[in-house]
Order: sequence, then C-alpha cells, then structure tokens
Amino acid sequence: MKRRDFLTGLGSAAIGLPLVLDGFTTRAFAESPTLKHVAALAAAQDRVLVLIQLSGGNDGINTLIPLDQLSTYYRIRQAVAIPENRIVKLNDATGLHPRFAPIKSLFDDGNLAIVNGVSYPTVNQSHFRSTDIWFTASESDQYLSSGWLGRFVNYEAPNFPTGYPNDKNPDPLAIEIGGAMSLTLQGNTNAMGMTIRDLSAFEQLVSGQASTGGSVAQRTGKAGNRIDFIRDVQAQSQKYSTRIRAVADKGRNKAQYPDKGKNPLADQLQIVARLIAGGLQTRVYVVNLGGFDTHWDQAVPTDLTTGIHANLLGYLAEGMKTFQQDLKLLGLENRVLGMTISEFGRRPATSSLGTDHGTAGPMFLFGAPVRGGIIGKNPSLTDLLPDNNLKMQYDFRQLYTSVLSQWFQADTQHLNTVMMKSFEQLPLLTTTSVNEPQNAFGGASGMVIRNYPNPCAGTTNIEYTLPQSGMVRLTLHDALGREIATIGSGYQSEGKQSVTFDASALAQGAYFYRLQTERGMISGQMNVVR
Amino acid sequence: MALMDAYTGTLDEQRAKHLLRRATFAPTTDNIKTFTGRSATTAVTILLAATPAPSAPLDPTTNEQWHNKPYNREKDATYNEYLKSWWTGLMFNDGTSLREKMTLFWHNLLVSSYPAVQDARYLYRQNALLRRFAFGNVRTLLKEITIDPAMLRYLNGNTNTKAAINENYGRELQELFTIGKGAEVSAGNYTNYTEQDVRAAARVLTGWADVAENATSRFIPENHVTEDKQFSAAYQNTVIRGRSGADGAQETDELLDMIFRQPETARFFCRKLYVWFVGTEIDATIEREVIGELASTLRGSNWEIKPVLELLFKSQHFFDAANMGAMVKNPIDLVVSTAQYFSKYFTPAIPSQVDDLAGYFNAMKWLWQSADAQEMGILNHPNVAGWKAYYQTPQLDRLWINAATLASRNDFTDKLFAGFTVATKQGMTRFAVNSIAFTRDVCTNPANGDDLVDKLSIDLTGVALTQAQKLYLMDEVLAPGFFNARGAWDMNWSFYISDPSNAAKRQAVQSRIDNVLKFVLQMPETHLV
Repeated sequence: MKRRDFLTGLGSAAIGLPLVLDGFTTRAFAESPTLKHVAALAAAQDRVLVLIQLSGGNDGINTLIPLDQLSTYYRIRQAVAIPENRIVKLNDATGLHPRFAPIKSLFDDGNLAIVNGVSYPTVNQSHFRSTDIWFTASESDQYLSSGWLGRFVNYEAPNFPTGYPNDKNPDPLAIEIGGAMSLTLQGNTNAMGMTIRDLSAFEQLVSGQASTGGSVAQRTGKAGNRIDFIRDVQAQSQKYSTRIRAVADKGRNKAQYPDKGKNPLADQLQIVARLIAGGLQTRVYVVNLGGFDTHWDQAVPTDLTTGIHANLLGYLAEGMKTFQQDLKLLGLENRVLGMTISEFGRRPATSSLGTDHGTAGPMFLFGAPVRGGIIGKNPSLTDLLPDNNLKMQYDFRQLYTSVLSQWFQADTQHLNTVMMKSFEQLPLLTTTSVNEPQNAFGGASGMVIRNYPNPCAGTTNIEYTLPQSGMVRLTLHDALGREIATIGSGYQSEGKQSVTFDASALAQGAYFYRLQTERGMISGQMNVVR
Repeated sequence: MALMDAYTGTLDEQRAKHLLRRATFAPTTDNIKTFTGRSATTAVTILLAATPAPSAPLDPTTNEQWHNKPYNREKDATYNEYLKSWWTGLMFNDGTSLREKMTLFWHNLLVSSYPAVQDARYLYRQNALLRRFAFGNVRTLLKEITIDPAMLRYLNGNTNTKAAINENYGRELQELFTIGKGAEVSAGNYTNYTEQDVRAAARVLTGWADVAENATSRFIPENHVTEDKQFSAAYQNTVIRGRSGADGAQETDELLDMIFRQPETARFFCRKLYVWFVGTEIDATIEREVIGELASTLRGSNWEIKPVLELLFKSQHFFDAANMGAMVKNPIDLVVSTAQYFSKYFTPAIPSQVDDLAGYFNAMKWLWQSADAQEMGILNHPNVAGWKAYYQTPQLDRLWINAATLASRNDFTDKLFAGFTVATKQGMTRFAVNSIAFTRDVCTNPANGDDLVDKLSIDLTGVALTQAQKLYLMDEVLAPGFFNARGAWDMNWSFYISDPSNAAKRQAVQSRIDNVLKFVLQMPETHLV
C-alpha cells in the first residue's frame, strides 16, 4: 500500500484532533505505535525541504575556521587566511569567516546543525562528475541517470506525469528555482520537478498560452519521443500555472529581504517562502548559488576578508538568516528544513590567490526542526589523504538518508529505493524516523533499543525488548555505516534482552549498533569518549 | 550499406530543409528552393565556402573600433553587449554558410564567459579566433586557445606559476576540451588520463599570462617549472622535458601534440560534432560506424576539420529520416533562424548596419536577450562544460524545454507578430511581421484555407504535420467557431482582396493568419530541428 493512498481522507488534520480511525478514537490508541506512525506520516506530508546547491566547490576551511589549528592554517593558507582578529568565534574550536558570521544567531538559537568533513569515498575532482555524484547519490564509480530527490518523489508518484495534477497532488511535486532542471529532480524516466525562474515573469508568460496539441498525432522515434515530451511539459505547465499564480498572489513575505538583484540566493529563497506561505503543497525546492570555484581571487590580497568567497558567504548567511526570519514571522518555521550541498571542498593548501579542488567540506542544515550543534570534529589540516586533501568523516548519503527518514518519514522500502543501500543515520533533527527509531522512540515495530551508560568509555549494556522469539543479529557500525563487528547473533526469546559490550578498544567518536530481527531492524547510537 | 556512405541522389525538399536547418541559420523558403534538386556535394560545397573575415565591431556612438584600444572600464560592459549584437548579426546574416554554426560550436566547446573574463576586447579576440578556425585545423586551434588571453583568464592559466600551481586549465583541457574523461578505473585514473596528468599538464603550462595592455598573451620564463614532467601510462609514460628561458613555451606545444597523439582525442571531437549537428544520443552502432569513421578521417587529414564536416553532411546517415526533427532546437537557433525566416517581412524593415548601426545592434540585442531568457546566453555559459543540453543525460536536448523556458520561447515567437519594440534612430520603434505579405509570397491561393494553413506551416515545423493537425489549424485556429469554416475564411479573404486599403477588412484576415503562425510556432513539432 502506498503511503499517499494510506493517508487519503486523513490529511494533515490528523494531528491533535479527535480523529476516528477504524472506529476507535485516538485516545484508545494513545500509546499505540501505529497511531504515532500515522500521525508522524501525516505531519511529514506538510514538511518542506529546501536544498541549496553551492556550485563550484565551497572552501569549507575558510567558512568554518579551525581555531585549534591556527598555526597550520596561517602557514598553508597564506593566500586566503582570515586574520585572527577578524575571525568570529562560533565556539572554542570553530571560528567563522566574518562575512558568514550572521549565521551565529541561527546557531545560538539551535536552528543550525553543522556536519563536518562530509564527502564520499574516492572523490572525483571533476566539477561535473562530482556534482552528478551528489545529485544522484551514486558511488564514485557508479553512473546513475536519476537524482535522489527525483527518485524520492517518484516513489510516491510512480505514474507521474500521467494523471497529474490531481485532487491529492494539486501542486508540482518539486520546484527548482532558476534555469534548467538539475539532475537532482530527475526521476526514473521523467523530470519530477517544475522550473520557475521569476514569479512575475512566470505569471505573465504562462497565462494565456494556447494548448498546442491540436489533435494528437502519434509519432515514433526520436522526434516522436520529443514531441511527447514537449506536449507533457506544456500540459503540466498549463495545469500548474493557474494554481501557482493563485498561490503566489496569496503568499506574502513578512521579513525584509535584500533588494532584488543584491543577493541571488535571497531572491530565490524569497520566492520559496512566498509559495509556501501561499499554501503550495510542494515538498521539495531546489535553489542554487554559484561561483564557489575560487581558484583565483578567492580573497583580495589587501584585505583577505573580502573578495569572491567573502561575497558568496555573505549571500549564503544573509539568505539563510532572512529566510529563517521570514518563516518564523509566517508561522512556518516548524515545517521547513534547509540543507546546503556542494560538490566538494577545497584543498587545504592554497595556490596563488585561491584554492584548488578538494574533497570533504561542511554541510549545513538549518531551520527550527534541526538538532542544533556540530557533528564531527574540525577537519585536520595535517592528517591528510595522500593527495593532500581532507579526510572524510561522514558520507553525504548518510545526511540524505537521515533527512528522508527523519524529516520525510520515508520507510525502509522507500529509503532502499532512493538510496539503494543502507546508510547509518545521524541525529540531525528533533523529529525522529519511523523506520529506524532513535533511542527511546517506539517505531512501527514497537521495539526500542538503547545502551547504558551512553556516552561510554568501558563496558556498556545494550538493551532491547523483542516482541517475539526468533533469530537476531546485533552488529556495530562506524560513523560511515561500515560494519565493524558482530556483537552477537543467534536465537533469542521474546521479552527484554541485554547484551554487555566492551567499548574500551574503540577510538573516540560516534558508533551505531543495529539489531536485525524477523520483525524488522532498529538501531541506536553509541558515543564513545576517552 | 555503411552509415557513412555518401548520399548520392539529389536533395528533395525534406533533405534540403534538414541540411539547412542543421547547418545554417537560414532555412528560408528561398534557400530551401535553391537547395532542392541539388546534389549533396554541391550543397556542402556552398556550406563550406570560404567567407571573408568580418570587420571588428564598432561602437555605434563613435563609429570606431574598440577592440584595439586600451581597456575602458566605464564602457566595457557596453562593449560586451555590442560584441554580442555584432555576433548575433553575423549569425543572422550568415545565409547558407556553416561558418557561424561552427563558431558557436567552438564557443560551446572552448567556453569563456564575460562575467569571468571581464574584458570585451579579450572575448572579441577569442570569438575571431574561433571563427578563423570554423573549418580549420583542430590541433592548431587548441594550441591557440590554450594561450588565448580570454581563456588564460577564464580558467586561471594566467595565475599558474611555479610558485603556485593552478590546475584549473590543465584539468579542463583534458576533461572537457580534448580527450575527455573515460571510466574511473581506480582512484584518480579516468582511463584517458589521471590526476597525475592533470598535475603534470598544469606544470607544463606554467608561465603563461595575459597582457591587458593590448589584450594578448605572453610567456614569462621565470614563472615556468623547468623540471621534467612525467605523464602516466595513459599517455605512454611520456616525459615532457623541462626547458628554461623562452623555450619553456615549447612544452605547451609538446603537451598538445602528446594529447593529439591519442586515438581517443579524435573520437572526442567527432562525438562533439555529432551531438551538435546530428543527434544528442550516441548508441553503440553510431559510436562504431559513425564516430569511428569520422575520427579516422580527422586523423587522416592531420586534424583538418573540413573533410570531417564534408563526410558528415554528405552521409546517408545524416539524411536518415530518423534523424530529421530528432533534436529540440536550441534557443539561439530558434530566435535567429525564426527571425531570419521572416526577415523580409518585418514592418518597418530591420535597420541596416550602414544607416543605423545602433538600431541594428538593438534589434540584434532583442534576439540574444530572447535566447538568454530561454537559458542560452552567448558569452555567458553557466559553466566551463557548456550548455547542459549537450552533455547532461538523460534529458540532453530536452533540457531546453521546461515550464519557464517554454513560456519564454512562446513569448518570443508571439512577439514576432504582436510586435517588439527597440530603439532606432527614429526613436522607439515597433517591429512586427507583415503576415499578409508573407502569405502572398508562400501561398498562391490564400482563399483556400486548407492550402493556406499548409503553406504557412510547411517550412516551420521540424516534423511534417499530420492531415488531422492541418484540419485542426483550419477549423479551430484559422476560422474557429464557424459552422462552415472554409466558406467563412474564403469570404473574409475576398472582402479583403476587393478592398485592400480597408483597415478593418485587412485586420480581420491578418489577425487570423497571425493566430495560425503563432499557434504553429508553439507546436511541439516546431520546437524540433
């Protein structure tokens, strides 16, 4: 059964109302995981993800400056290093580029999560290939022709565009602000999103365009394929245009954005906020800020706090912050999650007046739903890969998986379809997932798993309750999701179980344990301290 | 029968249209007539005929050239607009030549953009270089573009010194400009080259710089890495011997020679040509029979591209019916070719360069701005890989079409009839196609509505319309709402003919003809080429 079908007739009103489900009132189900599941899913239908692509490869080391390695920083980054007295402190270990400093208030309010060292194994240093890898969520040596968000949306709308829009889905499934549609929103066979450049131009241009189908001629071959494609786009844009026009008329921004044309990212986010405020039910938006390929002129030699990268960070910080203010004023802050991606970071050592293509970089998630803070440690500027690039701490696909699961409540089958393999999640959001409950959260299976003490240095007890007897397997994974040990496996009886595990041989950091049972899988996070 | 065998018959109307649409910006009714009945050999000779180099763009406010003067900070952005209008004008007036489509091809392969280069003089020089090599030698062009001042700026070759290696150009030269990336067989090994080769190429290329004073480039020996450069097994472990002094510049030639010794390099260029001129999807058969044949011709001619173009445009494969209308028309082609198709009928006429250069540039600006709105800005690529429609699978040329661009495309074609306004020496002037004059030229008996809609549409659609579609044009677009649409149209046309100076009677027929043309230009069939 598809989730959307399942939710038909339930809608977002399921939260907090005395809803009747199969003849039982909510109260009768108060502690039922089934109801929690249903309610969580219903809430997820209202949730919006705004993906901000930073094209060109953002220089993470000058975005978040490692205060614990300043001497190395000044030695290897002469061309771009921010003077110490201009660095804005985020916390004791991490400083901000002064133009990025406006995000500090988001961080202090708990509305910003930073994940350090995000990358993937064997980084491809071609912009295009690496962008494709991020867009498609592929392995470094795997070629996919669909995007991760395209697959996500496609799973729920397998017949799209046939029959769309419809009563259940009156709005575009995904929207990209800008020019051409990126690979992110490419579904299995169709582009799943709609492109909007500018609201006023859109209104003006789409209105009154005649349908050009005439009598539909069936044609074959490459030309026929393209005729069908253009006809579909025409039909879609006409159907959606009336609705988008109405929504855009209704939606109003409440925060003060920079003047149009002054901040290319803020311009796009302003449109997104207006569409959400107007009631558009689209759940995925993609916006883009380009120009991060700062081989040269990254910083102005006479004042290293200025230059191309400074301007871009200024756009990003101001854009994120204004957008967040707007959402708050509009009362939408709990419904919207933002996430940045960039195809790679830049090399620690600078070249002439800029930086060459690198590997790992920080990712930012922002909005009221995030669990604010920093995951991972500052990248080491000395413990480097053989090609003098930063080491990876987290795979970007862990973040994708976490967002799909914790934000959109994608179930295991959905996640497997989108991500194609299993990635260990990170605790990024205050919302929790349905399929892989965090500690103390009862999911659909009704199972709970936790370890005590946590954090731990020596031994810790992993406790869980099995709803029925059967074969189980308990495994330990590192932060990247790689299995590093089998803690135990075999037949266990129904009821409460406890396994003692000795963590004293593990390095400090986050680990995950995963219990596979006949009823499904659950996992928990263990933090080892030294 | 091999795909690349020559097509030996004469060109029928369909083949003449196909060749003109793909190879020129002027598939006009007149040119279709001229090409029909000729042999492919004759037609291709016309396409590839040498043409005199155009004189450099003028500043219409002074009537002077600016590319040979010092950089002018205040006026440079305006010069860039003049440059774009000048080039658009060359495309618009290119007639039955292949030159400007090849120049645009090179521009999309060897990308530089104004926002990055920030000097219109540089971009003029680069544009003239691409045009000079429109039918020229590929290897020589790559040697020239490597040290072209705009390219040195665009990909930071001008900052690549022994003190601070900048890999940008060394990487894109291999990934995007010459040999291309193969499968990544292991970390940093892209089959055709490796990360080691990126670094080695960057070291070879150290020392080049642009000279802003006269928009040229020079080699600075002190900035050059004089050690030997070791390339990987992908390049047969070639060592480019380090040289000092002015001789260091020779290493750049050796680098290009090394890359051009690889069989894959020839295939790379031939794939690019194929995708540009024939179709964006290359299957195994095409790779084997077409790309292979073109590539061996390119190598056999010592990198002259003209024999390759001759082979391609005369081949049976090019004229295969399956390839006709098989691509979405790119926006430059859409705006320039459509405006050229109706160019004789603009009222008033588009200003001539001689009488009103500023007005002419403004009209051309309207064209390139319209293409910008459809996501194809000249001298303004989104990035160094060129327009996505030529490489981003699986959508490829379909990427030109989305809700936003489709609206912009339709907006452009509508304005040809509804009118567009640009500044000329007469003041703000509104131009529109006189569709009645056009009708009189293409249709001998406009009173016959069925014949009329056929003639109005026949040269515009990339794929012929079906009989049912033509009936729809007649019944629902030309004369909608009439019980007897044909009779109603015939009557209105004869009212007009009997009293042609009567504005109301003229308006009654012209608005209906405009409707048909606007409708046809929005049909999916017309977005194809």
